[in-house]
Order: sequence, then structure tokens, then C-alpha cells
Amino acid sequence: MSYLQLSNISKHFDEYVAVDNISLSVEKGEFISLLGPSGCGKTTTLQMVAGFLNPTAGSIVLDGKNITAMKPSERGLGIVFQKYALFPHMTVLENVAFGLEMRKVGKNERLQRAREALELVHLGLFIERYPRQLSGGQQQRVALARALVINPHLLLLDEPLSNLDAKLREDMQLELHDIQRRVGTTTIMVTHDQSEALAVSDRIAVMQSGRIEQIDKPFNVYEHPKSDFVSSFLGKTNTFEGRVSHGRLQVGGQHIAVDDLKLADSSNTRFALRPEKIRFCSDAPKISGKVSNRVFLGSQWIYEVQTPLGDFLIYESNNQKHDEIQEGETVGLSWDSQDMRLIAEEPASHV
Amino acid sequence: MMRNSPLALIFHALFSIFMVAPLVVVCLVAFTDKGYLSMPFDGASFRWFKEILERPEFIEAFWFSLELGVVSATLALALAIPAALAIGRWSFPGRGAINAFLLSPLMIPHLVLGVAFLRFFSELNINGTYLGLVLAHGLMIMPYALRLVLASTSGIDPTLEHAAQSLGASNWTTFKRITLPLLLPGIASGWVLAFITSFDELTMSVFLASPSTTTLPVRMYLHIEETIDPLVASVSAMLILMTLILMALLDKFFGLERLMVGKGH
Amino acid sequence: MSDLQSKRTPWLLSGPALLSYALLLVVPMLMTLVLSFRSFEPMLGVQDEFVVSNYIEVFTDPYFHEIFLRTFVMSALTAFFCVLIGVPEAYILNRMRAPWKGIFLLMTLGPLLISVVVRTLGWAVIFGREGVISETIQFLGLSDGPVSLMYTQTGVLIALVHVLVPFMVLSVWASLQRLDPETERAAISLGASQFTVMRRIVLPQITPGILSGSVIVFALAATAFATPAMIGGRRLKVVATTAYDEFLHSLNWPLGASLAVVLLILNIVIITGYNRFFERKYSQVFES
Repeated sequence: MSYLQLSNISKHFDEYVAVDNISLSVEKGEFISLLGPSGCGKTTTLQMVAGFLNPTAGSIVLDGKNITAMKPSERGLGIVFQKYALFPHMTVLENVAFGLEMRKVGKNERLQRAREALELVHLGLFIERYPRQLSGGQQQRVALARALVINPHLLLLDEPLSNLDAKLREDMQLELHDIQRRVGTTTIMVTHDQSEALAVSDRIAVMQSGRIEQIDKPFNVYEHPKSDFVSSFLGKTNTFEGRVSHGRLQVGGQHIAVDDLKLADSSNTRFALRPEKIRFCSDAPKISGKVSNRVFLGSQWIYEVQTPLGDFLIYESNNQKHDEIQEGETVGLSWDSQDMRLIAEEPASHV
Repeated sequence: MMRNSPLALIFHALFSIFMVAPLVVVCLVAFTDKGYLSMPFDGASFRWFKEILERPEFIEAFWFSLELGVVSATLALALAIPAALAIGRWSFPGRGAINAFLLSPLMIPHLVLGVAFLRFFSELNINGTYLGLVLAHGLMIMPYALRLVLASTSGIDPTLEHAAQSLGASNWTTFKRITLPLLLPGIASGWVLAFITSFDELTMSVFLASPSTTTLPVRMYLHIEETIDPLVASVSAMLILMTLILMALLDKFFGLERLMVGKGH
Repeated sequence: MSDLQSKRTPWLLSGPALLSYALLLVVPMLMTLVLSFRSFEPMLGVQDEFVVSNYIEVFTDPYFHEIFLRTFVMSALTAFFCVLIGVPEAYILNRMRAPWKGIFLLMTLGPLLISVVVRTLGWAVIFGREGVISETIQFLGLSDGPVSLMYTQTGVLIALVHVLVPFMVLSVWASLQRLDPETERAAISLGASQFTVMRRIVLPQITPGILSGSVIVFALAATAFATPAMIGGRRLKVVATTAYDEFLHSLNWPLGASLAVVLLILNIVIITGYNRFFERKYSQVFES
């Protein structure tokens, strides 16, 4: 039995099905992200784990105990809210000590432990301030300290970094990862930001329309998306369709060798190809096309190339030694066949 | 930054004079040494302020209005706070209707309230009693109190309560430690506005007051119906002074603008 | 809140308020309605029979027509002059710099905290035969004898505008706070003159504030008692002072009650009628 087990959880709001029969197992110490667009049911799922919403069906078992109907105040979970929900009328120290006070920890001990928790998030100098006197990033750390100081059975993070600016968000991603590893608290994070989920999670559950589409390690979710949705939601992707016959893919009059994919003949097949897997080459390209647009991002270039297979997006790291490619130039493109991901196929009807 | 044109400033000056003129005139007239209304430029004295002390009916009416305001404002808040929590923190069928119903006295002219209470209290034989005035004032000022408390309940982020619960606080502890402290400014300003509205009320009270339960505005109105003399001017001057002091205090603690927004309909 | 909370809780919380309203608002209002259908005998008092004669009297007697017409005209003029001076004043206040803005806003709104009796008394002193206006006019040689604005329409109108204009400023002020100053700058950057900015950008955005301010002022003026009673007296009766006299001087409670009921219904019709209009016309633009 896993540490946390959600079994066949559903949540209906009148007619609307927010969460549709999902099951999820989380191991002790694991960091899991629920990733998906808004309205996919990830926040509703988190609210049910926290106890703020009652599941319409299903059960939640934490550490062998069924907590499905338990009050939120008795679950012993640490929660970091999207807008932090720091108590505006209490100092930073009082905010962090509040949970310990509720657990009837003596005054000296709880202040001591609250200070230690604030040291952990590098806020030892700000303990007498009020939340509004802190920056967004600092408030975020206070919220984290407040959730961790009670040694929660589970840490729930609701879009914890979404209110920070881009630079701070990257720093906090690394710090969150680091703190979670050190403390070892089992963590569930809700996010719509794929790079955040990829950076910090042990496993990612990609959700859509109230269901979990795929759950796996970040690398696997990115490299081996199980559905069209997952491949397009995580990162950019190029898709194209064609017909496979005799180990060759026919598409728009072109023939591309796909021998090593060992595909059966089919009438219609869709492939996905990540932009960073494509390279420019002058001899024996798989296809050629015309560069219609290019953008420099510092660490990499982004090209748009019009090809017979459709418009292709290509990422190239800023480390290439070939001549600069200009807009309007005709270029050859190539990639390894095994980087093509098969999304859907219809077997050829052998009439 | 956009500036006001000279024409605009002239308009503003005239408007300001218009606003303060009657109040300044009342204060000036109060200092006359004559037996009739006149400006104090050819003879000023505190004669009419001393006269107030000789007239216990004004002083009694003042204390009565003060007590009535305190009691009825407290009563109104006792009903308004839980009602505001229900309307502000829960969504339930009938919520909009309850809100409209509880604010409805704002739509009823005070004259009509006075007539209705006069009829009702006469049937119950409590017309002209202290109880009658407290009930009538309590109802009349309740919507003002409710509006300000409601504004502060909707200003509280509900996730603050979730946060407290997730940290182990029971419902009651959450209310006592989180919701109530955050509600306090709204409650305090609601009380003050309710008190002032009660203290200043004339139209409804004039139907309900008896010689033993006369509020200050009613006492002044009845006096003015007979004669306008420097005595009511000196009483008014005292009220203006007290209001100025109150305004300074209120502005310091609440910000007067916020309170005033509750006054508008 | 969460669905763990009992459905009964909001009803329990608002219960005390609802009960006291049922007792202290609904019952007295219904009793007043019933009273307005009772007959009155000068010698015997209120009679327990159902009649509509009070309403017939209110609606057919030219005496009451005159009073209702006067009340309506006075309220409409009050609202008009409050728009005329309150709207520019709110706009000017909003453009002032930090300390002045607060000071003058307090000066405009502060009188709301002072009893209307005191404010009207000030005008009574100014309007009287020995008042400031009379003295000034005589000093300038514009009149030989003392001049009084007491018991005149003009006098009541000036005092009502003074008493009610803060509500107009407040209402327009509130809508000016919601106005994004960038929209004014955007219009100027597109080549609009100051006047055009005012007419095409500012005015349309604060129109809801002006309209709701006018309705508030109109409704309060139509039901005002203290100011018409003190400045207008018995010579310039309005609906409120007439009802007061029927109740406390003629002791004809049923007639007074029917006047009160008509006043209440007109008041509610005007306010809700305005709200309907407002919702239809502006809800799409100003939905937040």
C-alpha cells in the first residue's frame, strides 16, 4: 500500500464533473506534480486531499488511515496557498508559530521551532515584520515555513510560484526542490507551468478534463507522451500525418525512411517531433524547406521553416559552427527516426 | 499630473464657501451678546453658551441622544455581524433576497418609518418609551452597520480561513483568531456610522419622542418651531465643535472617506 | 465556504436579524397600510371600517395636487442643481494634490456627520430678515427694507441643495475612483483636446455615478422633512410636512398614513425604476 492512495475519486458540482474517477498512488517522500491547464481538475483534487471539498465518490487513504471525511483541521497537512494566505494581522513569526500553537506546543518551544523553520527558508532576519512589508518571494517563503514547521504528513503546494516574476520563479524552483529533498516531506504540487513541474517533481501527473492522462517521471512524460494532449501541453512539438507502407512514410509526395521504427502498414498515422531534435544538414536531408522566421533567445535560436509536411519549429542551441542561416534561405532538415513519436494510427484496410 | 485650471479653482472656492457658510454663520451668531440673532462684530460674549447650562432640557436631550445612539448602535451591530457573515461568507439560495431585505430600510423614507412605528408602538402601548426609541433606531441604522461589516467580510480572503484550518485550528478558533480580528475595522466603522446616524436623526424620532424621551435634534427642532434665537445657535455651535473633534479622531483611526462611502445609498 | 459547512448555518446567523425585521419592519408597515384604509371621525377618532376615501382625497383634492407637484418640482430642481455643482466639484477634487484633496473632500463630506437640523438652522439665520443676505442687499442699496428668503421656494431649494450635494459628490467621486487615468492620457496622446477628453472620455465613464447620485438626491429631497419644515414652514408644505401635520396636529392618522404610503410607493418606484434602467443600459460596460 502506498503512503497516499487516492482511489476512484470523483467530484461533481451539480451537472459539472470536475474530477472524473481518478486514482493516484504517492510513495513516502515523493514529490508529485499535478499538471494541466485551468479547469482540468487539479486544484479540485488538491482541495479534496486538503479536506476543503468532499469527494462525490472514492476514498483517500493517508498512511493507512482513511481520511476521506476527516475535517481539514485534523488531517495534519501543510498547505502553501496560491496567494500564500498569510495572516495579515500577525507577524511573520506569529504566522509560522500559529500551527504549533494549535498543537498546544509550549510558547518557548514553538517560537524556537518557528525561528528554525524561518532560518531554513533564509528569513531569519524578518521575523518581526508583517506580511505586507515583505516582497512576494519572501511571503512565499513564510508560507512554506508555516506549512513545514508542523511536520506535516503531506505538503500541498497550490500553484506556489505563479505569483512570482520569472527570474525569482526559477530561483525558487531550485530552492523548493532543495528544501523538499532536505526535509523529505511527501509533496503534491498543483501547477499549470510545465517547466516548474519538470524541474522539481519526481513524477508528473498530466491532467485534462478531470482525468489523469499520463503519470510518469518528468523525462518520460516529455520524451514519451502517451497522447496528443500530453505532447502538445509539455513543450512545443511539430506534428504531421502520413501513410506508412513498406517501411516508408508517405506524406505530401515525400517519402521518408522509417525502417527502424518497425511500423505496420497503415492508412493514416500521426507523428510528433520535438523542435530540438531537428538539425540542419546539407547532404541527404529528410526534407527541405524555406526559413520563414527566426528569433534569437540568447541560449538558442528558434526557426520557423515551411516544409511540405507543414510549418516546422526548430530549436538550435547557440553553439553551432555552421554559417548563419538567413530568413528566406532554403535549408535541409534531418532527424533520427527514433525521435519521431507515433501518436495515432489507423491500420490500413487490406481490401 | 493634470492640474486644475484657474477657472476650476474659482469654482472650487465658491463651492467651498457655499458648503461652510451656514455652519460658520451659526457659530458666529452663537457669540452674540444681543437677545436676538445677530453677528457678534459689535459685541461678542459667551452669554448664550452659559445659557445652555441654565436650560437642563438641552443637556438632558444631549445625554439621552448619546445613550440612545450607543445602545441602538450596539444592538444593530449584534444583529448585523452574524447576518453579514452569512451573506458575505456563504453562498446559499435566498442570499440575494436576504441581503436586499436587510438593506431595505434604506429605501423607506424616515417619515414613513416614523408613521409606522408610531402606529405599531401605540398598539403595543410603548409609544414614547425608551424601549420604543431603541427598537426604532436599531432598525433604522442596521442597514448602515450591515453595509460596512459586509464590505469587510467580502474583503477577507477565504483561503486565510482554509490556511488556519489546515494548521489545525477548529472552526471557532478560526473565527476568533483570524476572521474576527480582520473584521474589526469594519465592525468599528459600522458602529460609528450607526451611532452618528442615530444621534443626528430627526424625522422619525419626532413622531416617537415624548417629553421624557426627547433626542437632541427633536428638542432643537421643537425649539426652532417656536422661535429661532441665539440659544439654538450656541447648541449647534457646540455640536459642530464636537463633530469636528470626532472627525479628526475618525480620520486618524479609520479614514473618513471609507466611512462616508457607507453613508451614500 | 466549503461544502462541509452545514446548510443551516447561514440561516441561523441571519435568523436574529430576519426575525427582528419581521417584527419591527414588516408588521408596522402592514399596520400602516391597514391604517390608511380606515376612516376618521374628528370627534371619535379612527374607525374600524374599510374605506378608500383617504386615497380618493389624496388623489382628487387640488390641495394635495399642489403639494405633490411642489414636492416633485422642488426635488427635481434640487437634483438638477446638485448635478450642476456637485459633478464639477467632484472632478476638481479628484485632480487635486495630496493634502488638499483629503482636506477638501472632508470639508465637502463632513457636513453629513452634522445633524440636518444644525445645517438648516444655518440657512435660516442667513435667510432671516436680519440675516446676512438681507443685510448685504440693503447695504448694496438693492432694496430699501429687509429681504427674507424664509418661506420661499428659493430658500428651501438652496438649503436642500446644500444638505444633499455631498451625496452627489460622493457618488461621482466613487465612479471617478474606478476611472483609469490612463484612459485620459491615451485620449490626449491620440490628439484630443481637454474639452474633448472631458466630454468623450470622462463624462461617459462617470455617467452611472451621476445618475445614481441624482436618484439618491431626488429621493432624499422628495422625502425630506427637516429642511422644508424649518425653511418652508406652513406656507410651503411638502408631502412630508403635510403628513406630519395630519398625524401630530390634525390627529387624522388614516389620512397621514395614506400620504405616507403614497410617498413610499413613489419613492420605491423611482429607485427601482432607475435600477432597472441602469442595469439594462450599463451592465455590459461596467460589469467588473
